Amino acid sequence: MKQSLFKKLTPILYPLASIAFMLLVWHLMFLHVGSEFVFPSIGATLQSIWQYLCDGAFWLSLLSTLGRVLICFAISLVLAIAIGVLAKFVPIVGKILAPVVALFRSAPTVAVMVILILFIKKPAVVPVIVGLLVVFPMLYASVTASIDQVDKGLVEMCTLYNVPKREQLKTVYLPTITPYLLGELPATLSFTVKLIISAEILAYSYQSIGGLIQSANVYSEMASLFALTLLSVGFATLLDGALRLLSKFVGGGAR
Amino acid sequence: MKTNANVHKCTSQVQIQNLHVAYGNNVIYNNFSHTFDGNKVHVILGKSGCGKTTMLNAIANFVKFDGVVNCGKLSYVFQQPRLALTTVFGNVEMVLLNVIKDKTERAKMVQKYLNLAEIAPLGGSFATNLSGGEQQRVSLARAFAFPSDVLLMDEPFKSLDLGIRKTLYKTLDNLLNQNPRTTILVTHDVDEALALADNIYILQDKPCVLTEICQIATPRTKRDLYSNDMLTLRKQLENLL
Repeated sequence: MKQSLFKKLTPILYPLASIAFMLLVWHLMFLHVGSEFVFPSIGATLQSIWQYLCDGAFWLSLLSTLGRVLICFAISLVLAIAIGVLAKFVPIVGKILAPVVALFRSAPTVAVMVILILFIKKPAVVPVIVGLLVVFPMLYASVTASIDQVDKGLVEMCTLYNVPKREQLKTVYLPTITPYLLGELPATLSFTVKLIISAEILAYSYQSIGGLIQSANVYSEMASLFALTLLSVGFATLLDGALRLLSKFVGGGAR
Repeated sequence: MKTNANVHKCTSQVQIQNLHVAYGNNVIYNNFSHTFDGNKVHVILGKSGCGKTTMLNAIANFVKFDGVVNCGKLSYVFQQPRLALTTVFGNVEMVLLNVIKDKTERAKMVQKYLNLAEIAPLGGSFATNLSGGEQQRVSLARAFAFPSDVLLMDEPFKSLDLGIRKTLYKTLDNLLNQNPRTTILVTHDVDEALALADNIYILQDKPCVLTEICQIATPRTKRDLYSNDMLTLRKQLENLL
């Protein structure tokens, strides 16, 4: 009886133990440093989180960042699907794109941000463009890899029996590509959140989570800095969870 | 390497002329020619890896080759059933979408072949959820529903147990009686060859040579695989393999 209760609670117990350990380390660090201005306590950080949650300006910043994340992610996804499919069926497109994609995949993200900030003088737009340049190659690679997963035997069968392209798309390509791609998307969305916030910090984007972090940094408000970092983690986790839920719904409906 | 596949209309013969297939330095077929007569079941026996599937794939234009292959429209029953992620009905219907434009007519045709393949009650089931034997029945229904002249079969019953194989031989015989096609079936199972073939060949490899061993005139349903003639033939074939 005791064992089965423990088994039931295991999925909650392990993350709770992990969080408790991190809080303990945090508290010990705070005691070691001994100054709220250098390393804030858990209490001060929670108080700062609560202040942000009660502040309308924070919610406007959050919505603005969310907008940038969603615009960047949606454009990257649509382009990646369109160009990825084109590249698979018109090999020359894939060959032309390969060095461009490789360049952006291996280029240091911060270097790309700095270059774009220097050339584009619009702090509100720069994070989206940075996001596009970094996220598109990732999604493009996922799309082409998912097309590679399609059973070659089924494609041969469709060619032999002269199955219409539309039917092939519906019964051969989409059932393979959809679950593969849906599995990749949540991780890429979380990365997009981190990327957009980082770009907002460097670009001094007005009314954004990144902008708030930058202000907290400038005024050395360590509790605010910690609070905003934790809120960003929560924001990314919520988006990730929402997309996973959507993936489950769409993936379940694919059959 | 150049591919020379000439597909002739309405010829049920399969003519292969000067076929050359190689995978790198490994020559599988070199200057190979053969004509398979129309509306008969030709069974090619050979050891695993001797080039049986390569011959079918050359006929279907799935591999690069030099030479000429003349044949009519093709159906193919693969080793793995290769079913799309849709229903049993959908799997058969998809090969008729470009053949019969009228939806009602098409549905009738699908139903006819699902009945002949004895899989009609499972029409609405998801094809990949079926057992191996049921999936191969869907593959047979699809192959016969498509208006082809030639049926290629690549060890279609290989992974099935003996009981299921025997019921599928009957289903295949029934389908062939109602819709005669030139059938080329490759296998390494002597019993399968004796049960289904009109002509039996042995394929020897490196490079491949095809030798006709015998013709069996007795109709498939009237064959006694344990008669003296059949037992002698089985021994002969087993010695050659």
